Amino acid sequence: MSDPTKVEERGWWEAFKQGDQQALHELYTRYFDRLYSYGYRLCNQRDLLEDIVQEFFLKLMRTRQNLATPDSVQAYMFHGFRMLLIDKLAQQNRRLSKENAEWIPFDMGEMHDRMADKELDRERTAKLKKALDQLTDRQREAIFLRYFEELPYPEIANMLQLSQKAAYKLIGRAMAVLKDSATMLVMIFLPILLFIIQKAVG
Amino acid sequence: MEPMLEKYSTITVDDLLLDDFFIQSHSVPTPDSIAFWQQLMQQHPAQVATVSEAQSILQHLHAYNTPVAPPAGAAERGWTNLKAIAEKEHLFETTSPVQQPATIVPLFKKAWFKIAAAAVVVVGSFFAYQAVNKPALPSLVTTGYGKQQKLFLPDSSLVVLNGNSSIKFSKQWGNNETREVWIEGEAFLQVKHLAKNAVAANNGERFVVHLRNLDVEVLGTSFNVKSRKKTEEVMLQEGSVQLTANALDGTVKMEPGDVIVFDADSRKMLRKKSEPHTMNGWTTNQLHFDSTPLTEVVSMLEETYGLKITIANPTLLSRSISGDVTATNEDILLQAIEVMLDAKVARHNSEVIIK
Repeated sequence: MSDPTKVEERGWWEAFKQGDQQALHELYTRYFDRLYSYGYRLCNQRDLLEDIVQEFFLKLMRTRQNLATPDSVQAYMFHGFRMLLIDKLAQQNRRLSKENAEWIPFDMGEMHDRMADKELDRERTAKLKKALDQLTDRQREAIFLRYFEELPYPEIANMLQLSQKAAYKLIGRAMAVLKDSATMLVMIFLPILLFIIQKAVG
Repeated sequence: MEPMLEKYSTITVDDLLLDDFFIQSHSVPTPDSIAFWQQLMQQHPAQVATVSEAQSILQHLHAYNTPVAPPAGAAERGWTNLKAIAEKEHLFETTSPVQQPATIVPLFKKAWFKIAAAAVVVVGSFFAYQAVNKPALPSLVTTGYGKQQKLFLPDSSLVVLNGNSSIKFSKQWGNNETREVWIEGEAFLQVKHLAKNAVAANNGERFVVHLRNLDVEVLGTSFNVKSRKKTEEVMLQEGSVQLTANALDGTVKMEPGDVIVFDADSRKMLRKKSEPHTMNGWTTNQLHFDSTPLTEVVSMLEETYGLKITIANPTLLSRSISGDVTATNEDILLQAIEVMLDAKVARHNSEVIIK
């Protein structure tokens, strides 16, 4: 059976399409903060962002009778919002292309305060940050969508205008970089550790 | 699980990091997924390092999943703006069922204009009422007198609760769990169809509505249940349901158009027939009366709207009413009764006298 959240959100979506305003409000409450948070990583102009999120929902309201019911409402929300955001940013600077959004930055942001003192290895988090900085903007965005928003590969491919295989590869290479940054540490310490163990046993 | 274990017995950290099931288990662990990874590590000790390394990377990565909060009040501000635009552009009105012209098929022709005019006024305020009554999805939803609420169950089945009613259900329904809800008052349900074959329905496909004395077992269906003071009533619109009364042996199978009334005092079930399309009329504020005894209409008004109704003229007790009324509140209904019976209806707060 499919994901209950997904099924439930499709229910709200259907009701909204049939003219139920409270159903849209339910989806609005669920997605306002999440879309804002995603948008902030693509564009950190807070005022503009607030307007764009609002405009996105206005577009949904105005076109409600022509909307399809997506398999995943979440994917539809993120994809539609991203397209609108790119449109707006491209309007600000006419040299930028709407079709190819490679120019859009994606800033992963700072570390979670709440996470800082959890059982995390500070050194490892710092290394990870460096590795994240080395990635391309699209790789960071794909990681955000895959691991934080948990969108499946086909949806991410769709959003980033890639083939599924390319999306999978993009994330694969990015994760390899993150993994290597973290294991470097182990590789430096491993010989020392072995040496100590040998000494202790011997 | 064996082929799964096989697949993961040789997986590398890189592949694990990209694996859907692994990513999902990391963010939303379930008892099943926890058991699976434990079993994998027990049976393939070589994978202990792989799994824990991948886990550690995801855990550290999640330190950067920092939500950026919008400015205080931004969401509320936005919604207020959107609502204003929606109202100005009539974005939510065109396909709404209550926007159809309000009608009444009167017994007395002169009644027509009066009631329709009253209905039109109230129809306009319907959305204003809807907007402030935003549904949440707790496991217990209760409606006040005269209020209706639409909600979706975890399997996306639709429930419309009538006034003075409540529904109880668990927030999450597992795959192989029977879907169960407990209803007091009146509700219309449209159940999502899962079972292809009624006989072979497994637990996850079963859907059971519990009233006080009746259990209604459902297989993808639209029906109305009503559990008021003395009687419990099930009306089947389409599909099929099976009834069990706590006090009685055996089950009753219902067909579309059937109405079964269970009387708590006599412990008897009574089968009637009704027009299927009129059963959920109340969900769109269309009430259908077909030689309905006034006493029945009165108890409906008392139960749904919390009125205390006295019939002061005994000759009215034997009267019944027929016709369709579009009414978004009880006053329109009272006016309809007034006109249909050619009686006087006086209301002071929740006290109503019909004479």
